[in-house]
Amino acid sequence: MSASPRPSDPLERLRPLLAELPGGGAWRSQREQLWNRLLAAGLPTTRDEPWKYANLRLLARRDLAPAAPRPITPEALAAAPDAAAGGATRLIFVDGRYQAGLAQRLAPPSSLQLSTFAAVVEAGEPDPGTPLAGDPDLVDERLRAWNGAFAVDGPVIRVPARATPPAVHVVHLATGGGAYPRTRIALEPGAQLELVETHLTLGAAEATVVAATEVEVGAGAELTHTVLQVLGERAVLLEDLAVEVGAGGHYRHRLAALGGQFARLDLRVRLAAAGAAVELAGLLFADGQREQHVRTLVTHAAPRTSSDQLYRGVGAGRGRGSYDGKVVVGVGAAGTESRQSSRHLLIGREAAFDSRPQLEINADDVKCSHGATTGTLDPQMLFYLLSRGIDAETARALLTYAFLGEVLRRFSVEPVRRAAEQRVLGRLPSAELLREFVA
Amino acid sequence: MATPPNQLDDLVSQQYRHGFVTDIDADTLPPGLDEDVIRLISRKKQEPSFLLEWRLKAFRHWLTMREPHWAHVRYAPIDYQAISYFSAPKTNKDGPKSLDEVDPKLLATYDKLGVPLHERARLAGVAVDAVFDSVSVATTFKARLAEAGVIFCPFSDAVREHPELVERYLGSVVPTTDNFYAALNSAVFSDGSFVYVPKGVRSPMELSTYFRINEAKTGQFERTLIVADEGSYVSYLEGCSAPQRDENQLHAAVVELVALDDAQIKYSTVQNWYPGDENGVGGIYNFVTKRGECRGRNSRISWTQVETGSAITWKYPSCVLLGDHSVGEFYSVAVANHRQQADTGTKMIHVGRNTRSTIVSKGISAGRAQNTYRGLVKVLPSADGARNYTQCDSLLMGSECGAHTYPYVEVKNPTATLEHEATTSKIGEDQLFYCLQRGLSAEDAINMIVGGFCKSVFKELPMEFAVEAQNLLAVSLEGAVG
Amino acid sequence: MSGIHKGDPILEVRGLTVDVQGRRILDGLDLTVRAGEVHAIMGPNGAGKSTLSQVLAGRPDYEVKAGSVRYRGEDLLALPAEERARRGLFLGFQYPVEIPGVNNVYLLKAALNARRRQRGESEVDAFEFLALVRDKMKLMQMDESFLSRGVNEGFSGGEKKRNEILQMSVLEPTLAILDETDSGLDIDALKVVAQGVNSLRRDDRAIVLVTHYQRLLDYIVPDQVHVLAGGRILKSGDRSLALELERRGYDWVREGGAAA
Repeated sequence: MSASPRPSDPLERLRPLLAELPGGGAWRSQREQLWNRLLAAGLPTTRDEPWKYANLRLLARRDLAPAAPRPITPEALAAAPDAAAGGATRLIFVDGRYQAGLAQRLAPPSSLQLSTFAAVVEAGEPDPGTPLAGDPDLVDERLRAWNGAFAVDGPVIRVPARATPPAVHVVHLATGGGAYPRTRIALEPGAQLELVETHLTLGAAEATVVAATEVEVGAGAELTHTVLQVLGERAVLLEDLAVEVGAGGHYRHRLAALGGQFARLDLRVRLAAAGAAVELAGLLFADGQREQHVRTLVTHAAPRTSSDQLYRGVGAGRGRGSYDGKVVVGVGAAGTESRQSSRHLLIGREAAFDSRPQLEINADDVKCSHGATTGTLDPQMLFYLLSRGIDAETARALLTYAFLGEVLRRFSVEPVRRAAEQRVLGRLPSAELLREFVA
Repeated sequence: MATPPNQLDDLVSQQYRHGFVTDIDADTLPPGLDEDVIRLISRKKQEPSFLLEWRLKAFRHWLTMREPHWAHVRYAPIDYQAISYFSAPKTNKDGPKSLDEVDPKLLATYDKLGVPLHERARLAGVAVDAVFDSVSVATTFKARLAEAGVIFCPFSDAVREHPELVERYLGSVVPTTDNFYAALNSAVFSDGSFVYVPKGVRSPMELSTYFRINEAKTGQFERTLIVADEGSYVSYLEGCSAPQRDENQLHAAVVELVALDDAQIKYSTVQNWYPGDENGVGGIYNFVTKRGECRGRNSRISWTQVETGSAITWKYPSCVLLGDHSVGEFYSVAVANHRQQADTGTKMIHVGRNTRSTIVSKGISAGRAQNTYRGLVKVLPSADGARNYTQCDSLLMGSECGAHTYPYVEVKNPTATLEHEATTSKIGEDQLFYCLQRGLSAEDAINMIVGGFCKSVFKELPMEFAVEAQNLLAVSLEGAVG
Repeated sequence: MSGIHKGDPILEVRGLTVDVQGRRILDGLDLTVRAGEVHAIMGPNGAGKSTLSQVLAGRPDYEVKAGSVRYRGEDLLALPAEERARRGLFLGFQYPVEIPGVNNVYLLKAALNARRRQRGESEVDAFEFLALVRDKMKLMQMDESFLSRGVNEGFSGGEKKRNEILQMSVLEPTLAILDETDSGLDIDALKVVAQGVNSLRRDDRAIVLVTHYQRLLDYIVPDQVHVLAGGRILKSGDRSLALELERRGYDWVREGGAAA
């Protein structure tokens, strides 16, 4: 890693803005510390292994300065249909800032404690999270440092022990410029929550969202975290999501990455205590000139932990994507079970997909497997459909849809699954015919 | 279920069977490397000037390079100035003309190693080139091969006798600038094997080279070049061993294969360099670059390797599939026990249309060893209809070892089909118990189960090597389960 | 209704020669099938039976080197696979492929409507269709779960074959080619499948059974039996030919003992 930032580095343009951010004392010094560490590491390039397949050069000419507060009206929000999907309790963040007027709350504080980073900062309270707890050399955590330096707001959600509040829906709306939402979710032991996040853009805004989310799933707690990413054509989303799961806890992440110009999710899950489990499932739809990248790191740090990953990517048009998944089984994590499945379908002449399903195993009592395929539609399936009189275009669309269906079926929040399905269908030929099938 | 501990503890590491030193008079350069050393090596070998220039270019580039550290291996820094870059057994000035002229002590060494150099060679129908430290000492069956038009000789002979072939193909697959160790090898390589199979010729026998490092504080830098002209076929085997020393020795070889239209090269390796002792003292650093180019239509290159030796292995025998309908294959068994570290795998680069590749990798980790599969399958936009199948399995024996899998799958053509499967698991306890219940010893049971695990690779080896490989596996894993 | 009368030629194959991956599989095959008839094509493994079925259904990677195929007077080989299906040609696959995620019933409805559109008929609506399918499912002794599952997904061998016949009964083809529909079936399943096929015998429809064993013909009695070997029809006859084959084996035909 080079110690001195290159002059062309987009970070250099951000430096003067740091001083204007809110928060005194400890918050200020934390921002500076994170900033300096990021600066020392530099923005990732494709020479960094974890970023081999995701080139950030498109940031060079972007406006990364945090967008000024831009309150929006309920009417404007209503125009974004996905904002309404799912969730009983709803929190709206515009360019990373909370919009109190648009919120709707359906659970008493005894079962759901809601706050925001802005409120925490304003009250001068200490950081409820650990913006940078892990890797000291920052290679994997640069997005977190970047976000931590500039984040001014974001949801802080806590579910008390054994509480099971109704679903929470967090809407992230980007209107242009930089946004740095920071999210912290904590489930105390035995708690359960269904959390839905939607990322969308108002119009065709050129927005750059650098998001960081910390999730803590306590002993025996259960979190289902569903993300619908339907950003506009000119939006960039870089998200770092760090999850820690306690004894017997269960974390599920569902991702429908459908929009944006370039999206990358870094998902790190640490199964910290015995019996912790994680299930990850995502679909990456890279059509047009879109790029969809996912990197996962699942660390089995305790005995009898299990992980299951299922990713399906479609490369259409000139789309690109990657799945880079690593499973690490630590010394002493006996009884680990881990499955990884990543399959990518290329249907565009100039589409490309890369995958890297990795295993790093340091214990012997384990069962780990991964399977990865990349290729075109199965000719036998295609022929079967043709031989039943289905036309070639519909048959291809149908098989493409079915390919992604495996992931969509795992979406437990009905409205989100519907929204994701409709989005996928809308991108395929013969959409009308297929819709009938889904209905 | 636990394996009976006492029985297995008794199996603790047997001595490295090939760990003897042959006491012969050797001509060895003092340690150190600069341009003068390279000039001296080149002069000793009476090389044409193109080769000296080529070496110097490689050396100058090497000076600008840094040792790679991305592999999953750890070792103390290597002092490249403390290594001797040339060691040759002192024999008649012009080298042995036939087996009769070879130092009998040396022949006895090969006997001990089990190299079928003499009558055994004839029985096995194998032509052997033996490389002792840096110099090729004997090539058997030269005459019979010559009859068929096959050139099989020490690299230095090829430089003298077939300079046009050497100049044409040397470095054409692995350029001098390719990587740190390849650059070093290009600068200082002393000998190795050269094979040329002319158009339409099927080599009448298996060709084989046996490598041995004998001298202390020397590195071995052999260079192998195999060219299979249109429509030809050759199967080539290499074996290797080294004495047991408590220092680390560097082996940085380069192997280049070229297959033209409809040609086929089958390259098999049984690598048994000294792995160091159970505490990780000594052993060979095996940093090798092996690559084949399927240049012609319908050409085919198969790599089969059984890697049981070396303290550290860093090698990725690869295929560049240029010709339409060409085929690349990689079959590997890598065993790492005690403190061994292996980082091995392959690269399959699909350039031509309808190119196919198969990768089967079986990794076995025991003791406190680290065993890594690292592989790249890359399909370029030009490779319409490319196909790859990869199967990559790891077996763990012991809670302190590591098994790692780092596959890269990069696809830039929508008509390609790639499939990758990997599993990692502990040696099957129910299988083990079943065997024990039927009266097998734990040792036999393990050998049987591991043998079964590796079967799909062993079957790719020529018969006599398959037996040797199976035996080596058994020896390497002694004391592995406790 | 269909305008086809018993005895009208449905399928006329002349000199059909086909290569698969550079190997000659069919070598000058002739065959005529008329409306109202059931033909059985028998032959040893590797004779080209499945190739014939797949070529007739329009499998794209099989290369027709010579010969012609007329289907109701039209050049069949000029049509893509889906057009052949819409014109009433149905292939019951030997190994029906599993298509996870594509609903079994959806496929059937889409297939039926594609066929109806081709005939200028209106599409069936969901209620009509479901009633129709339930009816046919009873005949094939299939349970309700078939409605919600993916195409052949997780079906046993017998279930897959029953599903093929169910599709046939819904699509009401003019020419049905059933490729080894009997293979892998136990005797009970075989009876169900045979009963399904028999119920579909009609004067305006032709059925070609491709089979290795004559067992199926105990339940579906053919009008004609052909022996396919070495890529062409070596001998044709009536039901008794199948029984003779059963007794004497395929070598009897190949050795020329049966040369007609």
